[in-house]
Amino acid sequence: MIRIAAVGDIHLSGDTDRDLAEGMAGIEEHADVLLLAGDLTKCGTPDEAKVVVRELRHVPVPIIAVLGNHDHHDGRPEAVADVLGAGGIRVLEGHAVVLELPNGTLGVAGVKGFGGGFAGANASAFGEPEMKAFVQHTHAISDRLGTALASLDHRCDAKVALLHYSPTPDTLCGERLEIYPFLGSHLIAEAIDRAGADLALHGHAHAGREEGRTPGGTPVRNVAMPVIGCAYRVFNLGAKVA
Amino acid sequence: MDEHPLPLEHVLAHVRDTLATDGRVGELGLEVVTESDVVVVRGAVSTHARQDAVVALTTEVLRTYGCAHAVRDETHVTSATVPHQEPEEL
Repeated sequence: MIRIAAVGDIHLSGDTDRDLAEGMAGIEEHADVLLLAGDLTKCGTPDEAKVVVRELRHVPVPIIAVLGNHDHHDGRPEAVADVLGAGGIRVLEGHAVVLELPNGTLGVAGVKGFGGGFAGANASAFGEPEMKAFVQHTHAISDRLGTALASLDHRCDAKVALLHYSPTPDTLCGERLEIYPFLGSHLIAEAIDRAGADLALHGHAHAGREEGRTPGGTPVRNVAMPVIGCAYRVFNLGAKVA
Repeated sequence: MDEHPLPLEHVLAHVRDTLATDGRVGELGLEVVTESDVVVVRGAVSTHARQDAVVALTTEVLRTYGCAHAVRDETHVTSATVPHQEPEEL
């Protein structure tokens, strides 16, 4: 089986007084890869990204990440990604990576995602330019996710969609209904269901719950640290038999 | 002409906004409500330093709008401990 550790919303910065490094100790005994579901920093500065690198420097398994809205706040997401990349944390945004792990080949397609809401109560690209831009941003990101997932076909034993925003309202239960459109979009789920994935991971919804599913049946897990209440959660994906 | 005092509901919205955007706290999604004339802040914060800033920042915004309410911090710091739950088989 392929063992995946995941967490989102670690929100590190210079004032960090939690010892995340301690929480990550021994992770290699439980998982072969660590996936980070965005909001790695508090305000998206390169200095905060250095704290992320410092806290995770002793993690001995590959680390793959997407950025979250906090990582964009300072307007320098590329610089944040560069710092993380230089520190050995591979950041995905509309791309996919294939990892040869001890018990199988894992494909990870990653995007930040965005909002817009869910089927039956979703925003449409209509009216003011600002509204169109909001929805079109989600369309573009979802399209990139679908392309990245599709690129993994026939190359992997298992595929994971790594996100910050949620593809389903299931994992938002506990959040106020009024803010669902800012927490995720059905377009992300549609991309996953079209291209196929064995698991979708996201963060962002601190008051949500862990378990959900896309309309097409892909398991979705909210791994925001305030939700899981620990350094990471582990998922074992059964490798397909060739 | 005296300006009308801003209804408390608007002030609480400004408090919530400030808790999200001011780097001293920087936490989106905190709940800000009043209970018996006390402004209460609830939700998860990532560090003790950010938790320590919640009352001061909330009070600062309230005073800006002429509100003298007391503030009670009911936030909690997110745990980053080693997980104890078994892996989920999928």
